[in-house]
Amino acid sequence: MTISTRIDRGIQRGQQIRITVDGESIVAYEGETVAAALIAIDRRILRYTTKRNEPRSLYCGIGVCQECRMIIDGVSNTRACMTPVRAGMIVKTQQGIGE
Amino acid sequence: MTTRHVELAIVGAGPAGLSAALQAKAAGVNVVVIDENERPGGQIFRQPPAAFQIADKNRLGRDFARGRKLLDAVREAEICIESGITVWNATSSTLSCCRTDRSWDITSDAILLATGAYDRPVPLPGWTLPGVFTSGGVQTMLKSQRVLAGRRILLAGTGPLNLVLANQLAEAGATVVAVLELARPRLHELAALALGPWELLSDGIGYVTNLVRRNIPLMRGWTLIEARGSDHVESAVIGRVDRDWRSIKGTERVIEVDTICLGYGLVPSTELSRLIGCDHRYDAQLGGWVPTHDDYMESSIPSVFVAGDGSGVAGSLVAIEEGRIAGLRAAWRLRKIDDVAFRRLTAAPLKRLRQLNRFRAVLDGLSAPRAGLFERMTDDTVICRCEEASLGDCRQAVERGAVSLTELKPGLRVGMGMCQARICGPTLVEVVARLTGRTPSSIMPFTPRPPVKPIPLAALLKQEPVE
Repeated sequence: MTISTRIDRGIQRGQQIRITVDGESIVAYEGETVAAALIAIDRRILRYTTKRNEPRSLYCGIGVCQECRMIIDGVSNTRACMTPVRAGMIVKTQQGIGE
Repeated sequence: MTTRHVELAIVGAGPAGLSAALQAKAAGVNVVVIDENERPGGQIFRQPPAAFQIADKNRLGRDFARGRKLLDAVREAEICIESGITVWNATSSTLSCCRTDRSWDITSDAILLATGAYDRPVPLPGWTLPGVFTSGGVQTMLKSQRVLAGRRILLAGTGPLNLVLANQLAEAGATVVAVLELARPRLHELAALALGPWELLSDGIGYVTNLVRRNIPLMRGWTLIEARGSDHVESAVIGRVDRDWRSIKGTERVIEVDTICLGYGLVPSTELSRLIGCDHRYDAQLGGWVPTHDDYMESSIPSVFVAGDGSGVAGSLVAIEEGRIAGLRAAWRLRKIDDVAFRRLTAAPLKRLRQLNRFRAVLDGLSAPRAGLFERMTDDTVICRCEEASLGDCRQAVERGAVSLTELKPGLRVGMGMCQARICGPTLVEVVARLTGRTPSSIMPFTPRPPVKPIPLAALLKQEPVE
């Protein structure tokens, strides 16, 4: 199991919840963004590009670059860096322009 | 179409927008602040999510403490802030808003655009690999989410953000391999910095002494040449640069890292001021194309104001003063205060702004992009991340006769993807200038079109404001 890069000192996160990422159940905390919950466990690849089929991850982290878009609860092109997790959320790595 | 009317609509709840709102509201203006993030504060004063409890707020740094004061004042003044909202279209009197699957318009007598800035994208081989992040993005992850973006981290670029971030990452337990800084300040430039405002000066000295204390090398005159790895960053090729930031051949070294933070300063978010039709000018020191404004932050269009990094990158202290002045000028335009009150209330912010600007001129001179900044790209390097267009693609288009950004669009689709040219636009201004042998100031930026940020089509069908 990967040790998370969450910093625990001096902080009480929100309630522990679970989300499903590409069929796998992972732990997240209320208040976290989808991107943070994934980066924290070294799941960096969030999508593959249309033309070169290259892996992409978070880049700008503030909702500008659109690189971190994933399929979240059935909606393609949702920015993982701007979307807070929710218990039971279904997240998928996006291929190209999505579904 | 559902609409609502206010006297002053402010876009952006960062230091400029909130400072303006406080002044305007105190003068009796009916004001609303619209912001894309879940909580107010903007990037620099970004707060942890509401669901997090922070036991030791001192760990969040000086910016957080400064932001806390402003956010407390905003709460006390009961400023109306609407968070989590994307402004996707604008005229000089209307803002089209969207949240999830709903959209609505806000009309106003005056508009203030306090839209801030984002990390300057600088393409180089490997910059799209997972594990190469902007420094601002990594800092956001750290400050707000309390998550480290990696374990063995290299920072590269220029400017104070990388120094701040290196310390914050080390403090949080990451291994910071080095900070590569393009600029090598000369003695007289350092001496000029010493005349700056005390809080900025003490911040700067603190960052550097803390790096020394933590044994983090600050390598001046070095930069990242290439990020390498299969599907994520595994190593970094670094090398020396000359005073123009051009690579010096034969100085390359490879170091093992799992994460690279790129911080090359910021570029202003100007899509709304361009969409509305405000005049813009090119100023390399302020981050590229910026809206023109008068001494009181009014743009070329009456009652449309600009303030903060979105009107030219200058940092949060300047943003606060510009915001105050813009808020007061809007109140004056709306006849809430007279000439005498306006002059009295703006005297202090205007004086402070003059002091800060003197200091800023020196800093800008050090960190403004120099000729070599865009020379790490190869023909295969992607410039437009959305449409995956490379430098080679752009070179071929120019060889076929393209001389403007608009003429690159057919065939390449650069600037037409999901980010709406925010990432490739600033680079393409420089690239097309070089390829055509002209100055960047003669290369007009892309024309923004609504929606300036992607919104679901469903939102256009459901036109009503969220509760």
